[in-house]
Amino acid sequence: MASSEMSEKSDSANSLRLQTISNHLKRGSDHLVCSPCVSDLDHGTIKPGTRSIPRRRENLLKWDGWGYKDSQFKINEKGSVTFTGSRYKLSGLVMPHLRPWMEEMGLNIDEMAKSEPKINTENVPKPTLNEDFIDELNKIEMEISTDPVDRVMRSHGHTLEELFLLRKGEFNNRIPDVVVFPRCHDDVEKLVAAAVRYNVCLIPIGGGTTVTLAVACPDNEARCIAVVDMTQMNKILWVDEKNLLAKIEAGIIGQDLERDLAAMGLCTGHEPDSMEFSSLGGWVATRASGMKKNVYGNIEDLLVHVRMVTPRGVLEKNCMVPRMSAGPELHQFIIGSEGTLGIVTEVTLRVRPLPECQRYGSVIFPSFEDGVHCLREIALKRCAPASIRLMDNDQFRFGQALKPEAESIFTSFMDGIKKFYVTKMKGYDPHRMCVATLLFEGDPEVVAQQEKTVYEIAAKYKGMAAGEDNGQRGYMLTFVIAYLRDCGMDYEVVSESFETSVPWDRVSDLCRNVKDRIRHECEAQGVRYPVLSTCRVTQTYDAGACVYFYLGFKYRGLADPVASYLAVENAARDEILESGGSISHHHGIGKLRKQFMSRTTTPAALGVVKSVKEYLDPRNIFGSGNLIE
Amino acid sequence: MDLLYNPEKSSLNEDGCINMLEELQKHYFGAFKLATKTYSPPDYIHRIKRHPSDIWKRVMKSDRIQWMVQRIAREECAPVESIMKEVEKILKKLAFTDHLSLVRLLGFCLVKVQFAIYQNGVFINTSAVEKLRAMLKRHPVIFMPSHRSYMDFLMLSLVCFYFNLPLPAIAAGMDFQKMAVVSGMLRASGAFFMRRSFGSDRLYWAVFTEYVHEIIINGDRPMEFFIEGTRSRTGKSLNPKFGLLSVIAEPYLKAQTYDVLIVPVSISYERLLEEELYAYEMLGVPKPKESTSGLFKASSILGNNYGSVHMHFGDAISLRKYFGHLNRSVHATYPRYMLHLSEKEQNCMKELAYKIVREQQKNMICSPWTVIASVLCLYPDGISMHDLVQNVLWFKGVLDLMKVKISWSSDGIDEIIQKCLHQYRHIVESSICNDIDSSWINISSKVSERKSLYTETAYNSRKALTPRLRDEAVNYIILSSYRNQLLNYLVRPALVVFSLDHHLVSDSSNVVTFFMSSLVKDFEFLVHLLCKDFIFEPGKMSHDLETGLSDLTVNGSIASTADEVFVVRKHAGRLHSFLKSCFSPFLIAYWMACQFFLKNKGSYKMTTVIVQIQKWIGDHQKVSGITYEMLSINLLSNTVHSLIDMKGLTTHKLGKTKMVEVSSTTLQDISCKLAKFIPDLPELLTPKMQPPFDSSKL
Repeated sequence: MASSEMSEKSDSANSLRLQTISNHLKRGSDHLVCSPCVSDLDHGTIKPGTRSIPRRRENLLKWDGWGYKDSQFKINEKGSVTFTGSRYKLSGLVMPHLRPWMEEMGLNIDEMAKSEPKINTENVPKPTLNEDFIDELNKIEMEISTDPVDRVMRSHGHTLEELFLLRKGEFNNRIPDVVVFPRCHDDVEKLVAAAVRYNVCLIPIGGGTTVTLAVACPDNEARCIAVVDMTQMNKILWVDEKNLLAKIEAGIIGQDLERDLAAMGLCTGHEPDSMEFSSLGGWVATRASGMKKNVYGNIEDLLVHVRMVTPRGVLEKNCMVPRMSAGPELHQFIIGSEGTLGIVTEVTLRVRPLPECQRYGSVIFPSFEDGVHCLREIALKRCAPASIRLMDNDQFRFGQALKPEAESIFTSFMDGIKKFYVTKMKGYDPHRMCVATLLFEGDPEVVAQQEKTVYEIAAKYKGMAAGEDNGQRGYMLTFVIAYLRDCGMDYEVVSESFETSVPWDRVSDLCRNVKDRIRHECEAQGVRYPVLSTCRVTQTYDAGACVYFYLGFKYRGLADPVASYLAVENAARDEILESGGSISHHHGIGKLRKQFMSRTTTPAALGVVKSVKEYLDPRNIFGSGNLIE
Repeated sequence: MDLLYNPEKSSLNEDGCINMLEELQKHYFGAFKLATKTYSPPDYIHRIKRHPSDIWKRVMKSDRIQWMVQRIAREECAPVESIMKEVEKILKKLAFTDHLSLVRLLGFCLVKVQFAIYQNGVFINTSAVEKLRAMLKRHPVIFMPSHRSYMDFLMLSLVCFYFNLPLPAIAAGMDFQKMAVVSGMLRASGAFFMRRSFGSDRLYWAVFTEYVHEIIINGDRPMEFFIEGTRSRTGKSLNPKFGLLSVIAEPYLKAQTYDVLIVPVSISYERLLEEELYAYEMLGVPKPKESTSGLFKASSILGNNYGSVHMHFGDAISLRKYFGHLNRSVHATYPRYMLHLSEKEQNCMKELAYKIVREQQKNMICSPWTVIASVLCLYPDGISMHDLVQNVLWFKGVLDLMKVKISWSSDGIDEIIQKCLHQYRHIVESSICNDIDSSWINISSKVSERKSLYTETAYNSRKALTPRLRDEAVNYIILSSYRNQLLNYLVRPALVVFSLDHHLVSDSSNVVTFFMSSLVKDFEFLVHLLCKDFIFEPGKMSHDLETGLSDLTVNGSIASTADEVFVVRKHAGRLHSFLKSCFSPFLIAYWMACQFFLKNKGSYKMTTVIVQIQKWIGDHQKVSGITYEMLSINLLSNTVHSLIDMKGLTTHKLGKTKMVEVSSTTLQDISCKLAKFIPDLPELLTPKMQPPFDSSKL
């Protein structure tokens, strides 16, 4: 096994690193924003080497919702919405426009659906234990737990139906029977061998942020189910600056990885919206995509080497090369396998020097179609900044509702002037206009050049630069949206997000069709309140884009809110496929979208996936039931 | 200023329709009020407002046109610029403009004309209009009216204007374009002019398709297409055209729109403006070119009462619902500007086209005159008033049982007949006696002064009918075109009756029965033969047979006893022979055409053969059993096409001309089978031509 301590690095490498860091810090005095990566997480106060998610997750994280316990949207004594805690830029601020916006959606502060105060351990299903397996694990000194809270905390992801059930204090028939905490690759090998010997079902879990029911236990699983919590395998094993590679254990959480690399003046640049809580292994298993993929690439571009333990043995290559021609690419079978073939233990990623400069920006367009055309040209010219996102009108207005209280009368006066200028002087229809948010990253000269090009193209499509603030707020929205969903659930709102990828010429049509379908299906389900049905283009490629939808409605009056919600989401997915979109861009299939798999490819193609599973895992040890039947 | 139309204040008749003209006449200066009213139609939610010229500019830039232009440039080694110029030329000829003031002017004139000619009113089912108003906001809408008259699209636009619905973009024939001023007016009110046939002109096809898609997708206006392709000159529905429907459905199938709603509209005229025009056209007088001066000449119609018009908006057909079972993602793996419809989709398109025509038929409202005309057609030598009343009453009963919609007024039957005879006195004469019952009704042999307008142009070809024969025939043709309106509903039971004859079994107690299955072969033959003249959806033969049987059962002429066994009732004779008489002219015309070809084997030019047959039948007018309506070009053209389909005739190309050739054994066979269904075969002068009836062969 590779060395696990960074201290083994040579002195010269150390000094080089220090140099980079100090350069980096110096530029911090510029007005350029230089905090690495995550938009509004404040890394300054957390020391490198910290592991942010403790073994007992419930001490830090909500058991019935998203993120940190101390961070949530609340209505303060003045009746305005505020965001608690101190972890985010938004923390402690009051958002005066948010409550009116929520009320527009039909929310009423007197109509609440409060969550249960805590996990009621008495209701937790009794574990089905496999004594031989437990004995074996004890023999090899593996840390295990059958504590009900531990089991419940690892029994779910963040799919709407899972949270809805938890908040009611109910559980699925089957939750994991035992939690196992491997400490290194060898542990995993022993664990899988034991599971094979005693026929135990294994479900790996990292941060547990899945939104596809991928870690949920299949209802009909009669065997003992062991959930493998990977988060104790969280070390950076080594960093090779010459080849710009880092070997990392798969259980590391995104923010810890970036923080530790930043301390060395490096980064992976992989920033999925869930990066505060999701793990490297999870990214590989779901074929994740990062916000800044335009600069750094998606997970499949970053991954150079990977080890996966399967019932048949370890799957890995014996070299770490940038590319090779040796038959079908093995990695492509591991990436996106969703825990059905084995456990990803160690991953070697490409790393990059930290960007010297980072800058937000935004452009407003008179209509969504104009924006799409602009993004398409930016993609064509290959001058896309690290991130570029185009929000539709509803999402733009939603973003505006999150504006914190103006700091002074002057700012609020200026806001008024800006609004007047845009809508009255420039003739932008406030019910049509939309905004593109931009994040530039790299050398200051490169960034400056990129900004110029992008704003020039935007001008061709009637786009008008709208400042850094709007851009930054746009990215903030992605980090707080999950918190806002919890708040919504308190007020009888079910909501969810889902995504797809689609060729450029179909983007606008797909967005319009899906939003229409959502409204029509909500009507058919008898939803009585306004429906939030909004989308944004979040990634651009040469051949198409990734589109991300938000869907939410107040469910008061519906007999089975979750069933109604699912009917709407399935209708939306159907519409996506009919409109030429994919089944998923980066969330994956899990069990939520399995029903649509046969529509997205031919039986022969599904047969290939099945036959690989059959070979690697004939007894279905990795029995999560994801991807295909 | 006001909207003029107010759903709460308008008075509905018992069918839930309002009389638009009457509503307008409630106001002083009704036509003026209409022309100056507030007009604020609902908007399709995803519509981006734009100038009509932006539509064709977008078309020029579209992927489809760029692709097609590049392709043609490559294949024909032509410069791209010149092809783009061609595109622009096509578009400028095609596109509609938008001038509300001209629409108002047109509306004013039109209402004035309508006040004069539609003295019995223009009726619209308002409940459907209100539903339509809501739908227009949510989805692109395509109106698909029946097509009997040029008045159709003027009428629909006027009705939309009156009800504050958006004015449709109308796919109109190129022929109007030549009319000075008028074509501009039509264009301004939303007409766009398409060629009658696109042939293999792929550039034109691409431009037209893209133009239509652009309008559907952005929902600039609802669109209006005539699924029958052209005006039906004979009172019957025409077989639908599928090409246009595919163009309309494509944006939905390729997910460029959420849905497309098709609204079948049935427009029924009590008396057609073009009745004589059509009749002469059927007799071989070429249709006068649409011209503005012609329009002024036609202003002589203003003195006549053309009765009433019923416009019925049918239930919208949602393509999303109708094509719900089709997997649209099959179109995800190639660029959308290339048209590929799968076989399955094309079949669905055909089914839909027939469904639309069926819906149109279902909601047509026939006038009592059609019933009277049907009876009169059977008595070419005239009928006494007493018998006419008796027959009409009886036939009315039959039609009522079959739920055919006929606009009987509350007057007594005698009065209705008297009124009709008066209204159609240019076609029928009645000799007035003291005793009304014994007055004699026959078809007028007089040719009105106006008719000379058509006849003088004509006798230039020695092959055509003589003007004299034409004038003799014209009133019969007109009369049959009114009768034809009812034949749509009668054709299925009638074909059952024809098929019955040779399959009846009587037992000892004189009970006559037949097996349903025994009819199938004969019925199938007749359906196949007549499918150009009447609407039969391909592949629905057994359904048609069942419909025919149930129509007869409803009328009590047959009754089902056991599984598939039917008894023919004693009193069935009257209905059965009536039905047979109605359809015999068709069968005889088909048979005559067979005789023509069997007599003169060889090859014919497709373009002239029909006139040759017409002339030949004209020569046999004196033979008993041969009637004037068999001279109808439409009927003979259908015959030829049907015989081609049944392989009695074959076609091939000689250079650029299409030739028809007789395939004698098959044609002989068809002729024999056909003869079996005709009770009294006309005795032609050359008896050797007529094969002896040989039942063993059948």
